[in-house]
Amino acid sequence: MTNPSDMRGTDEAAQLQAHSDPAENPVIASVLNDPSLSEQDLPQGDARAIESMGRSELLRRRFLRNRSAQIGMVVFALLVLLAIFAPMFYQYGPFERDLRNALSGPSAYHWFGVNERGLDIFARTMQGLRISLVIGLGTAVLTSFLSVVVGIVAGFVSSKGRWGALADGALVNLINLFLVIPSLLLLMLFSPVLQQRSWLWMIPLLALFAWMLTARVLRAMTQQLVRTEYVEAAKFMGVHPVVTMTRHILPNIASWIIIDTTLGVSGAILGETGLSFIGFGIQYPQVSLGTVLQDYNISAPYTWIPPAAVLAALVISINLMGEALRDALDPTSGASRL
Amino acid sequence: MSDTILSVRDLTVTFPSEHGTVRAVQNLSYEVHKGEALAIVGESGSGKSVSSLAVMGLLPATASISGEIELMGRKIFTLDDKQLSELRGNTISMVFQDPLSALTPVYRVGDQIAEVVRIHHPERSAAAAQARAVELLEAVGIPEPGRRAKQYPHEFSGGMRQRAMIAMAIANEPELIIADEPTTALDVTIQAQVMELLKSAQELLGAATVLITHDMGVVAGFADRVLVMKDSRMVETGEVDEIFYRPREKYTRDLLSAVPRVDLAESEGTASVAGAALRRVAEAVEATEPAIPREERPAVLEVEDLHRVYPITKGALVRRKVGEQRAVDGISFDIREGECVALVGESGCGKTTTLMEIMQLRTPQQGVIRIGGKETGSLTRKERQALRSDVTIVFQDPMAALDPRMPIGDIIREPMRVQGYSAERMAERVEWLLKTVGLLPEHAARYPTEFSGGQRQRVGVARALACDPKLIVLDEPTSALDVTVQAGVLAMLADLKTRLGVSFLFVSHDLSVVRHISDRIAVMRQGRIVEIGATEDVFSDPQHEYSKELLAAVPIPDPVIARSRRRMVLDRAAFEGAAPEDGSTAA
Amino acid sequence: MIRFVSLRLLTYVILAFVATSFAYLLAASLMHPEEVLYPPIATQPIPPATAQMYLDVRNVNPDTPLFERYATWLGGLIRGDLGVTTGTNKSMVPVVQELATRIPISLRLVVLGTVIGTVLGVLVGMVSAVRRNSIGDRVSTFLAFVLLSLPTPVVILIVQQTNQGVMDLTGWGLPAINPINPLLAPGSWESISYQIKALVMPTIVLALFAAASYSRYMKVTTLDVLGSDYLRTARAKGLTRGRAMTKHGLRMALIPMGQYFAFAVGAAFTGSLFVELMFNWQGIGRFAVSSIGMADVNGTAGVVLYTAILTLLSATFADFLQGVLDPRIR
Repeated sequence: MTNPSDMRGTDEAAQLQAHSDPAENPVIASVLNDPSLSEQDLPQGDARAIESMGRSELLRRRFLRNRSAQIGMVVFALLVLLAIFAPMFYQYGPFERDLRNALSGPSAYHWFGVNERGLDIFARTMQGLRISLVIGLGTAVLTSFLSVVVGIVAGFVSSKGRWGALADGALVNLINLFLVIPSLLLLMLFSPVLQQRSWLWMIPLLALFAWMLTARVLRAMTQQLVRTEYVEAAKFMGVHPVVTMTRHILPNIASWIIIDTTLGVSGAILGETGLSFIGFGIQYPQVSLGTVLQDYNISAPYTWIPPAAVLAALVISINLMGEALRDALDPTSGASRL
Repeated sequence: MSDTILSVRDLTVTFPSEHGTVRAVQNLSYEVHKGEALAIVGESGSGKSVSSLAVMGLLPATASISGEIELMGRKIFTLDDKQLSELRGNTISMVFQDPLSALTPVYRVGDQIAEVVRIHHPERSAAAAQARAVELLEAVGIPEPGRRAKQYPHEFSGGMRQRAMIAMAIANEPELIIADEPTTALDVTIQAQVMELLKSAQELLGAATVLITHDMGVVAGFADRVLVMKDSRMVETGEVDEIFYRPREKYTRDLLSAVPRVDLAESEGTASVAGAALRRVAEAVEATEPAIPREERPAVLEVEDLHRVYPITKGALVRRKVGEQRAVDGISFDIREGECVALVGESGCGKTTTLMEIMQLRTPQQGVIRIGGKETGSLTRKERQALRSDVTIVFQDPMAALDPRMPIGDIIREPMRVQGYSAERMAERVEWLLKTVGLLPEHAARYPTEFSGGQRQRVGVARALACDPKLIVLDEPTSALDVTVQAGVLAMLADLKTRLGVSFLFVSHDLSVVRHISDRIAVMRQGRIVEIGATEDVFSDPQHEYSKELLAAVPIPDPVIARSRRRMVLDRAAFEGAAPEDGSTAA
Repeated sequence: MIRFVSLRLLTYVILAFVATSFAYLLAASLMHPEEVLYPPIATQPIPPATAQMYLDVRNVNPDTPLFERYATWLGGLIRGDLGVTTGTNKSMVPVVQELATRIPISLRLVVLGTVIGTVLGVLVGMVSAVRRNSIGDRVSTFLAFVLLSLPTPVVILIVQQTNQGVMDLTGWGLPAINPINPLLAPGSWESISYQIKALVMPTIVLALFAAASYSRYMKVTTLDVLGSDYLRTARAKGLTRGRAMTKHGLRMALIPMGQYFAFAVGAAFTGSLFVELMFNWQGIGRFAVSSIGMADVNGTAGVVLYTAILTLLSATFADFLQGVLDPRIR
């Protein structure tokens, strides 16, 4: 869905990359151009260890060195552990009613308190965390898959003659159509029908309305790559288009896909929370962080602060990791300067 | 020389980066006197641009600067942004490298020129500033200046934009003009015009000029003094004749000898590295092989009456044809075995389209392309696939031509994999190919980013050679390289031609580059070949007017010859038109 | 320019039409208004003929083929009639009338929130790019990051809880729910000032979200502009840093922002849905929730049409803005 809180970039991402490309920016180039890398002698031995470290290794180092990435990873790991092991500490189940203690604050039995309906907030929050995590991860992976397929195909065929341009135009209009449709409304339409079958339907449903922006970016990036000389060279060598897509295009946008998937997790969690909050998301007998928030009571802040805090910690930790990845990938890019 | 305009003392500029501090400029000192033209020459990354931005006070905030820059007695580093602003555009002005991005795209060109007048002369009315802008445009030789002033930068051609930049730079009659690679992005003929304009503007204003360039040829006709930079340091400095005829440092000599020369035939002694290497090779060939006349050798590529027309359409929903652009307009040529044919022309002349038509291996819109006697239109899918190994291409930009995510070994293997070579054979060939292009077989596991531009271009050549091609198409293979590197790549290509007997179709915008490598030259203009003939004939006795023009425009790295070719181009009357009170200073 | 905008407008109208039709067909095939109209636990069985008539008059009879119902609805759409509401309420209010009373309430929120948020975001983004790494930049970047990591309901809860805290402490606070106080005489100064006060909190929430995402985008585009050649030229001409930025940089940085505007309005609609629910405003968002909840096919289609038109108008406005700012696409 066109989530207001979506951290992912739009069309400009590809453009931003181009701007920071040393080849296009003479000042950067003249500064970055390592004078020691001259024509006469080739890099030998340990002296050039940093250069020959390889891109993925460099990325990993940059990522691990980033303070916000460290914080994000620790918090995220803690939350995952909590989601896995919390049921061991339940004193009341997520749907077990303790009406005598209804609307009472945190206590030894109810660590986070009890809501108006007599339900234990700790158990519900932890249960919601599990559901939100599964939905977030599942949706992000599925969304990325959808957007990669549409984006790469549209970007690749757009330069392949009249029919290619036509197919690309159709895909672009499909993207625009999905962007024009108020996705929240359609989610509200579909969700109750599918929730009757299984709560896992939430994953494909959210993915169906989340792939467009990424697909647009990937299409633009692919179009740029198709115009590069190495893809042109592959064409002149007679490499099969599908092989070109997987061997030349996919690896070159892979890092972007990873970042986007990471940020997609938090986007999906936020989307699911919003939908569940207004009652169109996860239904009984499951509970998500959105449904827990639904039972808020302004005069009793403990009813909403625990699920909100867990939710915030989860989304912020994921976004921290995502942004750190973006920094690591392209330290000079616009995105990293946010 | 008279009074000093600019003096730079012990300038050092460093930038922080991930791998520690990058020293962009180290201990640079120079002086520029009134009316003098200084050229700062160096290859990419030598720090020449950074030093000039330091003079303007325009370096990014991350740069740390030490040393001293004095402009007309004022110390630049002690001034704040406001005081510097009063100097910039008035006392000191700058012409930037890329005229496409240097003008704000959303304002009219006239307004942008008027702006520089109004900033420093707020007492002038907006209308007067506009009128001045039109005069300035006329002075720098833009036709219909009144109409052009109302246009936006994207409606100007590259050369016109650079003229507008120069108009802006001379608007307030500055004491110092800094021109940072002003002609790098332009075609040769335009380049010559812009350089002449700049020179005459400098002489008319009596302004000191600093020209920053990588091209020794440009320097020869322009500068009074030359400063050579390498790896952020000064190599040597001196009077222009001294540097050109009696260089002291080895690097300066390398730089000079690497510049290909159009004016010297092979018989005359040339110091050019590339030329020397090529001549050696040529002699070796002549010694071993009795020359078979060209007509008796089999043709590798024949192009007959090739046309490529792009329709110009309008309308988003209903596309209707409003005209057509004849990118290639009926050209014919052929390449014989072991021959190198150069296709020379300026940007937009259709040479790249011709290449793409050949590389597609499809039926052209009109005309015939034959490779090894086979017509490309009649090929079956399988034959076409097989023929892909016979015709290969080397691209212009060594950065973009290699997939950054693949080790170079895999890059070279790719065409062989398509042709179904066995693993052992591929491994064997990769090793041989790397050695052939002057790289080490151990490098196969490394990624393209670990190599310099010249080395990457060698990898590109190795990939083109992978399947024993009959014809290699070279699309401006050296234009993205530094001159010293370019010479090495050219020598390697010439060597390959003789050793392996491959034919080349060498596309270039630069006549001087192809002189020593090509056997025949075809000069292209507006989709047609205006002249084709043996290299020596074209150089010594060009038939077509355009060929003569092209030859005359190529800068010659020899101050005496270059000075004799100059003309006056700044329209003095137009420039002085609105400012008669300044007439005395301008003269 | 006119050509460019009108062409875009045409594309958007087609898209909006397709989107609305799609939504109608989906709603009509997925929803079961007959179950809501006549719940199985109805005390008295209703004669089938009456039931059929009830369903026919509302154009939601599941026995009528879907495309026939669609054709009827489409015929109404051309005449400007969107059918009547269905659901538990049997009063058959025309959807157009329902929308007409609710749109002003929602639009007030969406327009105010978007405009304030956009202006604020553009300013903050530009300043934090120009004064990069200053304390102001760090704080605003951090706040935008946290804000975008929170779902809308949580932000509303934080704002409401803060207001509640202030009210408990000082006894003075903003009205928490309802845009209109029914106890005050309509048209009186008290009523108007109450309405203005009631608008404050919802607008803060929507403006915060718009400002957070806008400031991020604006910072990126501004940083790009700061590194551009033309800004360097402008400074080489003798403009100071600040004047070069305002004269040459700002306009260039705003050009790519135009496209975000269309998304911002869509996001504001989603945001206003939560705001209306949690502040108890009787706007379109609330109507959407109740329509879908009560299987009101016509009402749902009406809401979709409204949002499609809203997106369409904002996208056209964005194109127009871009055309004004950028002579290259004229």
